[in-house]
Amino acid sequence: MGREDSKVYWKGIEEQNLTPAFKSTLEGEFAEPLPDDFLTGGGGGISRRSFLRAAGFSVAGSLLVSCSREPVEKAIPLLMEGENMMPGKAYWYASTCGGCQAGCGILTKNRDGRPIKIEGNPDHPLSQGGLCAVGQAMVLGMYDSQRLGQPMANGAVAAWETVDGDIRQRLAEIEGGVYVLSGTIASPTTQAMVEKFLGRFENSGHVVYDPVSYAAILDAHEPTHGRRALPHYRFDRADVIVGVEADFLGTWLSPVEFTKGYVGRRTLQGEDPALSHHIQFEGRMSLTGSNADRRVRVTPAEGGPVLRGIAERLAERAGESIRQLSGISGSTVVSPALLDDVAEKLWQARGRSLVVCGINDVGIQCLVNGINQILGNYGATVDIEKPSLQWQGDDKAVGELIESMQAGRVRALVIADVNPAYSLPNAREFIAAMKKVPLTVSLTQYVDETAAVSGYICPAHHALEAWNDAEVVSGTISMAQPVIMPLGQTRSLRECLSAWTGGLQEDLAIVQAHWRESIYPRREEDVPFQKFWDRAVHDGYTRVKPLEMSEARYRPAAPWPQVASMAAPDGKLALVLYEKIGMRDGRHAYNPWLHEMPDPLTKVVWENYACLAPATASRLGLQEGDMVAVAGEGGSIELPVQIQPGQHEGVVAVAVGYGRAGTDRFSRVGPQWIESRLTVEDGGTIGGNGFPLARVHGGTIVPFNAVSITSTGRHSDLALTQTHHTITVPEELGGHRRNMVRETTLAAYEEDPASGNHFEHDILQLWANDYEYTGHHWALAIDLNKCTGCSACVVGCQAENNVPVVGKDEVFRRREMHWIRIDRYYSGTDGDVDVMHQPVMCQHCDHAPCEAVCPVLATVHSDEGINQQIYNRCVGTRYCANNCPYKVRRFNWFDYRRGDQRENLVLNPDLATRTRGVMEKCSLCAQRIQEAKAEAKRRGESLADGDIQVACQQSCPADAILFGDMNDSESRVA
Amino acid sequence: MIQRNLAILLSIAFVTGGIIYARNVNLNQVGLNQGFAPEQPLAFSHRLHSGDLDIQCLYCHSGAEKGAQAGIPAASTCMNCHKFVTAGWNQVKAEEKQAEEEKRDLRPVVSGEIQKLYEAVGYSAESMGYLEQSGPPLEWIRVHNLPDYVFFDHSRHITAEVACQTCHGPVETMETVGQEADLSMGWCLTCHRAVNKGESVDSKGVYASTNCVVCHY
Repeated sequence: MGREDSKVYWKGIEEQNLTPAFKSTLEGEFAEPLPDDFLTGGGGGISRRSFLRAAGFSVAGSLLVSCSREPVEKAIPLLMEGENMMPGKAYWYASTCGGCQAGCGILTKNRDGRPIKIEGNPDHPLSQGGLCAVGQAMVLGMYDSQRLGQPMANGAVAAWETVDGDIRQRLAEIEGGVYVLSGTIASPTTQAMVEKFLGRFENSGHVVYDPVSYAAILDAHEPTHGRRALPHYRFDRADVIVGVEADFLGTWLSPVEFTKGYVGRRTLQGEDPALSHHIQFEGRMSLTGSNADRRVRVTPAEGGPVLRGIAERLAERAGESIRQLSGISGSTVVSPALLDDVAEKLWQARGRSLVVCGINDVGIQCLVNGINQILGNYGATVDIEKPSLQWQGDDKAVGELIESMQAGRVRALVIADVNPAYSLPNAREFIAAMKKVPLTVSLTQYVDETAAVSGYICPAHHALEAWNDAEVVSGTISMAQPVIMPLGQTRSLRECLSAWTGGLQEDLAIVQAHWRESIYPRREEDVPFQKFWDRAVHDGYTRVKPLEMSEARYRPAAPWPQVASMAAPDGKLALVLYEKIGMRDGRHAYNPWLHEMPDPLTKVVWENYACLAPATASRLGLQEGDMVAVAGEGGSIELPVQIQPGQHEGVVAVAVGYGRAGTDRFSRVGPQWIESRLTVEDGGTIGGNGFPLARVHGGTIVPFNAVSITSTGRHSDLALTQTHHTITVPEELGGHRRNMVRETTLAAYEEDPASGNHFEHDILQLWANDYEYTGHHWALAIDLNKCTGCSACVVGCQAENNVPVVGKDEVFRRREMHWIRIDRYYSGTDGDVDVMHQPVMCQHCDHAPCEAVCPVLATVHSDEGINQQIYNRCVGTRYCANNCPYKVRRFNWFDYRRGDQRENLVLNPDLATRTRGVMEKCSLCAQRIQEAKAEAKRRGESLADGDIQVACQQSCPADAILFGDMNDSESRVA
Repeated sequence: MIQRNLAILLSIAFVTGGIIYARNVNLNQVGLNQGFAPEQPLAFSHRLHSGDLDIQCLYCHSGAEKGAQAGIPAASTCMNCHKFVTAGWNQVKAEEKQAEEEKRDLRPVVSGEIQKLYEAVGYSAESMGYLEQSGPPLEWIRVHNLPDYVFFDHSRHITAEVACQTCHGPVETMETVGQEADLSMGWCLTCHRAVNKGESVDSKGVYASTNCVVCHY
């Protein structure tokens, strides 16, 4: 029966070593034992008296609660009925995501005038319906009641009139030295507005600063191609991909678009299945690395030599020589045979290959450009004619600005949507320099670190509250429309600039005027302006003629700058600063959904930490959770250790985006009860800020450095979900581990599509398989080959299904509430590991074990194949969770929703919020099934495949999830 | 000591429970609002509008056709007619008669109840126009109010040609609308099962699901 599988998968170090602590987690579904003291009177055994006592309580309790009369509810109708405004009906509007600079297309679901859910816009040319976790969580950020709602002047709340008047007057007194410091402005309208504003002053400038910088890629194209530009990488055209420290499926440049493209080349669908080949060189374990076909562990210092090795071999094959290579160190620990193989694979796939690198160093990026040039990838997988405008940061300009500020040459500084006082490596210098600028204005959604040292603080719109546009890639303009009236007295940068230079103009008028003037003339079809505009608003994007730019041509002889040496001296470790999928550069630090989303690799929530390889940790005598001081040039931060299999032994990885001021607002985020502990100390921060540890080389900010690690002797447990809900065979039945991962190779699959699936035991059925599903038979299928583990579905489900946030302390008790989790399995040894991601939600088993044990029939099967959980019938015995083999049932230990009333507006009114004492789990988005069925009935048609899209499926950037009717032979799922 | 306290607590609970039990014999019916016919802020007569004037239910409750909620009509829907109909027939006739007797122009007659509507929407009968400011909205009391864990879709029942009266009773005869059926789950299922057996008069050839998840999610 079945074959012996030599490959063993494990979920973490604890499972691999079978530590006692891990074993104890396998024993019960719940972390705590039953409170049997009450029943037994502490004496062991249940006596007649104590049984009666308990029975009495339950009878009395149920009598008391069942006797209430329904409260009288008022119904207040609309005064005027508008077109397309029916109470209780959802309307969808296309817009553009503001979660990061990538500018993915989104659809917002509006119920009764408020946005409650964000999904990917399937028509958008770049993101194609995908949306990451950050984008989906953005809607919660809008309802944050602690967002700045009023302007402030010198620390006190002021009226807009006062602030406008002051700024206008002080600007009038200044002749020059006015600067605007902002993140990348992809909006052509805002860009034009800033230029117009600065044009009034002498010696003024617009400085673009991205906290996680891609400046080196842009800078490198100046020597190599004669134009500072960020190419548009086309993973959808690449068959062989080499990534060096670039987490392009997680956070690098435009991860949703890249995931779409990448996965499109790795699917077994279609006539001739073929899989792309992906080789990743990296020090830490990234999401991208975990998906690679071959992952090579190297320190960041090896990045240059590895690329040089590849370049040399390619040049040899091409019969060319790259003169600039002589400037780069050539010795690498990576075996020449491996480099030969990589080079050969790339060479065979000329024009269909892609080399990307995440090291923000101009010299190395020049080398990458050289390689892509030899491979003929420019014009194929690297588009420089229609470059990306998503990230335009210029680190050198930021450095120069700080110098000018210190020298007193800056008379006025407007900071918009960036937080340099937090995210610059030399933030302290910046704060000191701020004091030398007479007029400082910060446009921000929160009183953040930068706003705290600014003279005037202006509240900014949330992305869902404002008109906006974004030319993400030359020739493709995304459109953003407001889906709610601003909740505070907020403004966009455009409105502010108009108010300070003339009169306050309406945002819509500004955007529309710019479109009429500059975008409309670039149209491809001849249509009237109104139609052009309306279509862009309706579709969420428009295509126009690309920007006119100087020709970009490869310059073989241009000199390349010196490559920064990133080697860590003896006794030190190489620090890799990275962005976590949820927290990114820290701008979403006030979003509890993202804090509670387990990291795809480490599965830790509510924290950042120092990732160390198992060997390094044991060499330093460190256990997981031991606090260490990570000290480098920029300072020292104290973080708990996280032991990360697959990481390079010479590397310590620290996530940026944590340690934001004001995150102690989440100290009491979970339920408050007698045993609850704070998620974060009052006055403290969630995690520590890693940005100061970055360093500046040749003007660019390099997120690598040499650091030393010393134990501080303290310990702080990490709240991790990875070993919760582990699927096991009980000790008495053998206790062996079953392999949850089934895998095969493409060759074996082509021979036999069932290869890799093996059946280890005879299937013994308690019940006859005699139920025939005559109507619909719903099923959800996940293509594990496509799933990258990005966790967008986790947040998508949370938003759709009103899944509460429980806080760090409750996660320690294994009480997280997510309906879908992504199990991450390792195989191999500590160092060289393979990773598998496996989303798990309710499997809606036929003959489900949970159904058989429910004493009150609160969970039963529907005649459409759904395992139904009926909250109002559930009495909370938790038998079902104990009997669930997939461990997907979640118990409401508390009434979780309290506190922020405004945040509660994000709740989906189409399904119940569960109360205390009730079990819940994935319902296959029953509300969506019902809605789609009703819609089909109204139209008088039958349901077509794709009419119902469940929440996790809709936004999956990898299209890994399919939902449909198995009884419909035309459906993709059947 | 603890045991004693517990015993006392238990006895109190038992006694309280007993009293409540004695007062509501049929526990299954507790919480159902059958017969609930509250006085509304505006004495709107369904008997007049729906019965005598024969206005279709869906004219005002148009949501029932398009979505889950039938909805209470927006005040603007009332104004479609009540811009012109300012008072009852008798009142208007009486004013006409009096105006004829006194040989003067007709004065606008606004009945007390319709005046409430005008105040809510901000309408002046004298100038026959809307004012700049509207008054506080009408706060109707919900009669048919299902618990929050029940999701009922009106449109599915309308498309299945279930008459409004099947659930809401003869509203066209009610001066004040009250809850006719008990709206309990058993009551819903009786009808659903009857439909599936082909016994229902209302809807033909449809399958009325009895799955839990049809209403509870």
